[in-house]
Amino acid sequence: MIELKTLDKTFQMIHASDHITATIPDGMVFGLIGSNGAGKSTLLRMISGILKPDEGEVLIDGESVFENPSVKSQICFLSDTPYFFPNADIQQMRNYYMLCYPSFNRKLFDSLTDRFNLDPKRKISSFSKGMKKQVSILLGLCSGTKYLLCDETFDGLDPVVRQAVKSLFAAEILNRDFTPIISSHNLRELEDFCDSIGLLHQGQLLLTQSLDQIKCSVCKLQCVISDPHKEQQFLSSIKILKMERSGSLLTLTLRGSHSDILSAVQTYDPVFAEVLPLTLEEIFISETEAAGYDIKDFLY
Amino acid sequence: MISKISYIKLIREDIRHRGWLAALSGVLLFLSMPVYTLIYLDSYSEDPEVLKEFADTFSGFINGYNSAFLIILIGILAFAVGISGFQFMHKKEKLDFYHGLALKRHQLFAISYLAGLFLFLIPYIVCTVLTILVGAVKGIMTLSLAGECFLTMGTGILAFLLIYHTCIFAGMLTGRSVTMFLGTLVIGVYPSLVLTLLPSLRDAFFQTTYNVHDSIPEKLSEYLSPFPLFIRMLEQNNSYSNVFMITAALVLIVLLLAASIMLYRIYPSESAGNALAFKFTPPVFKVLISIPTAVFISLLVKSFIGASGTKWIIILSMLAIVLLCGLIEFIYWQDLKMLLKGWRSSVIAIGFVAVLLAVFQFDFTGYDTYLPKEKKIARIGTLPDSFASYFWYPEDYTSEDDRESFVLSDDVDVLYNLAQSGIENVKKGITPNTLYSSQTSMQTDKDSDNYICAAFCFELESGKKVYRNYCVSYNETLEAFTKLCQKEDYRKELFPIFHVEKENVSSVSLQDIYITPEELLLTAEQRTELLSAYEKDVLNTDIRKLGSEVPIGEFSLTIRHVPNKETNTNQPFHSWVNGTREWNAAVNTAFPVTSSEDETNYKTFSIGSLYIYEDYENTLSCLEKYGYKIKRLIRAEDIDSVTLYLSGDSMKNKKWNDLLASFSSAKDENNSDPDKAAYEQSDEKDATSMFTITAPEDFRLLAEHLYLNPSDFLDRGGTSRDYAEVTFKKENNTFTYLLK
Repeated sequence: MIELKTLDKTFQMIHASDHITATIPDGMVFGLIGSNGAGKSTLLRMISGILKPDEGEVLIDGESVFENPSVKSQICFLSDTPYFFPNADIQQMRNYYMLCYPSFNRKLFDSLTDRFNLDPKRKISSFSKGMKKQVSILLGLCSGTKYLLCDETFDGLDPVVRQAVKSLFAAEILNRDFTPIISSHNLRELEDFCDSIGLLHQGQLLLTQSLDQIKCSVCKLQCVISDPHKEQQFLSSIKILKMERSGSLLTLTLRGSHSDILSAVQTYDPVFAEVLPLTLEEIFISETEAAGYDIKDFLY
Repeated sequence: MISKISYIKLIREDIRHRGWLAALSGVLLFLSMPVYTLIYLDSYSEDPEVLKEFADTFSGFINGYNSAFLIILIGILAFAVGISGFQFMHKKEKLDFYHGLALKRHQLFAISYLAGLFLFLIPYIVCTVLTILVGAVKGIMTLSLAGECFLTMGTGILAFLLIYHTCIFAGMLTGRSVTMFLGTLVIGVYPSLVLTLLPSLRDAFFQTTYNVHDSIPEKLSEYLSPFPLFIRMLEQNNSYSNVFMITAALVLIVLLLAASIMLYRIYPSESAGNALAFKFTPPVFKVLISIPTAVFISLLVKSFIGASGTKWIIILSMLAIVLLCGLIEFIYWQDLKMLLKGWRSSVIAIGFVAVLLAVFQFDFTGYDTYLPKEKKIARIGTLPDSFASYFWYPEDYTSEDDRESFVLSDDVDVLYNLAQSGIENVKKGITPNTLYSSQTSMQTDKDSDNYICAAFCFELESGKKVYRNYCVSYNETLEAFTKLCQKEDYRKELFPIFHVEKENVSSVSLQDIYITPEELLLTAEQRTELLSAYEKDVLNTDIRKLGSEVPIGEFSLTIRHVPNKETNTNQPFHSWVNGTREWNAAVNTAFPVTSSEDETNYKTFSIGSLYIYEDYENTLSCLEKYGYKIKRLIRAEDIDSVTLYLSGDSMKNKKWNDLLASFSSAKDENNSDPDKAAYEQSDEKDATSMFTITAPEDFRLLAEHLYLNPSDFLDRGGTSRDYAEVTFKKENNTFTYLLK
């Protein structure tokens, strides 16, 4: 388990992490989302022991991570711009990772590079950006560490590869003690993949919740109530995150479970009532707007 | 966790990733050491006996004593190894990769450090062995010489480490490879820059400074800065025997390494890409670097353009500090709009330079008028400028350490009064700088003949020595020396003949009015007797006469000396030619002292200027006893031609009119040959007139006016002297004589 205790980091005049406190449980995919410059990379670099927090500390399984090789041996950090040695090919990088990570799964790596059609003897510098990311992900995945920190690693992957990588991650979670932490500024990318989400904005962590919990607690209701008096009574009886009106059709984003909301609207004799699922993006826009943050403009 | 075996593998991997550097260092060292040695020895001589003469300097092929290229190469390799090993700290993706590994910072440091070290050490050691083998093939090598070569290799490694560690230390303070490189240059010379700056400013601003050779700041500057120490270690033969230098290098190496490790442990990873690593350092470094650099630049530019006075130092310093502050800010931010971002530190730096220059310009410290209290002075010595050419001491050529130039006397009051008059002269504007300056009114008034320049050394009771340089009255100085020389001990200390060990004198030469030296054919006993007679005369002579009379002859002594091989590292007769240290005939010819190595491994050198005056009766009678008579007049039949150079004063006073009128062949060159007008000075009354005399009867008239032109005991430095340039028939020699 990763515990972040009032992590604070300032670069020159930029407050990259503002007293972040959170817990990332083991055995699930944790998504770290936020706009560009929200502090995702800084947080990941602090978790992996690259950066030393100005205040607070990162505990991994109860131990501080900074300058602690035994803890760092459980972490593999994949930077948004992966580093490969000049003129190195995949085999050379694999050998270096094998030196640094004793649990490196060479067999798996070789089979995966084959499945991904990556030539092990071709210089990595001649690879495309997406191929380099694939190599980076495979190296990280096969390093055998408990925690894999991916900093916008999925950006630039084509949908097929992205899906394949997601499957690989899921398989690894099933096979061993594995906790990937993936940062991205694209909510759609993480929606069908993460178990738990953390939202960073301007160095602050707005919320951390499991995705199921979020999806169950917020839903979208479309209804038509012909009697204006009843409609008013209904609206005042529920907690609205967001409301849109099109003629007599009301589209409401509401906090609460599907069944509770549907039974509540039925008592006001609606002409039409239907509960629709919300995308992760809609949930976060609604939640953050409710929290006073107008993040619609910068989520993409 | 990474095992110990993996560390070795990681070091090996690091070396592999820097394979280009391994190849570069291997090839260049191979070419610069064994190949160069082979070519050099082959091209010099194939005679084994001649080659054996190289044994003394063979180890120079290992450290650069015999090749400046090797010194440069070692320096460049140290730079390249240092920068390539630690540049990962300056690139975010590389730093993320390495700092993300399960390694402590000091472990990561050790991997990069050791890999870099091996990149140099392995080829260097291999090339050393190959160079020794070349020596063995050429028949030069002995076991002890091989040992010397390995010791020299040790100094080569230390020199490499000096630059390597400086580079790493700079890397720990910076966040970009460019600033790491610049930082290495700054750290490499900074202590020297600061330590030599104050003496330089004193010289530039103060009137009474006296430069002591190898003063404490000067010595420290050689040992505290990595770059000067690096060069010193490599350019000297057998430098491993210089314990002080090796110790200084070791201390610097250890300090730089320890500081680098400590800094790396706290190195902020987020500073990759920034000019400097630590938040508080940019303004501090800007102030520390810009102040001495600005003043140094101004002094350098002033000396290049030859500007006089101090106003240009002030103007150039202020200009340089402003530009430097802007330049440093640009290096920090790489944005012209940010030049004023660190304005506070810029103001501090500019203010400091302004205050510093004001202190020197207005002499707030009272340097020029400072005189230690008489009761605090234990001894005083004075050294007129003329002594440098009038006295030649054997210790100057035999001692490894510099001889104390001053003869210190317990008679404090004699020289103290003279120093006081020197300070009074400073207050009147009569200083050493103005004495010889043609622009001062003093000289045009012809007062300069009354003054001489003399340095003073005040040895305080505490042991500290204070040095000053004053203009003092000629007569007062002569009187002071007359008093001081009343003590036999002082006189013996002052005159070089008492410093000569007579048994080591291998020959004595005599010069008289004909100047061409004649070696006296004397036995060892006769030489000793002659020198004893000379000593007696020197002890008895009246010092006032040395100031007023012209000597009638001069002895030169050739002295044997066994050099201390281990410590004799200074080679004044060597010079760098095309990057190679070679015997330089030009230097040897120009140097007044000859030195050679004879069959018995003695070094010989000569000292001259042992003048003989008319009243040196013991010497003259001893010479006569052995059949030598000093000639006082030049015979007219020996002269081919004479050219007279008569000063403007003499012409104005018609001093030589009678003599010139009596000549049958006098020809005024100035009037007859416009090209000769170059001899004229701009001030008409100072114009020198030149006359050529060719008639033998005129030579007879002139002969009694010709005197030797020796160095003066106290040189007035005046310009109103009259000279004659005499060309002899024999060998067509030309010598200059005083016309009296």
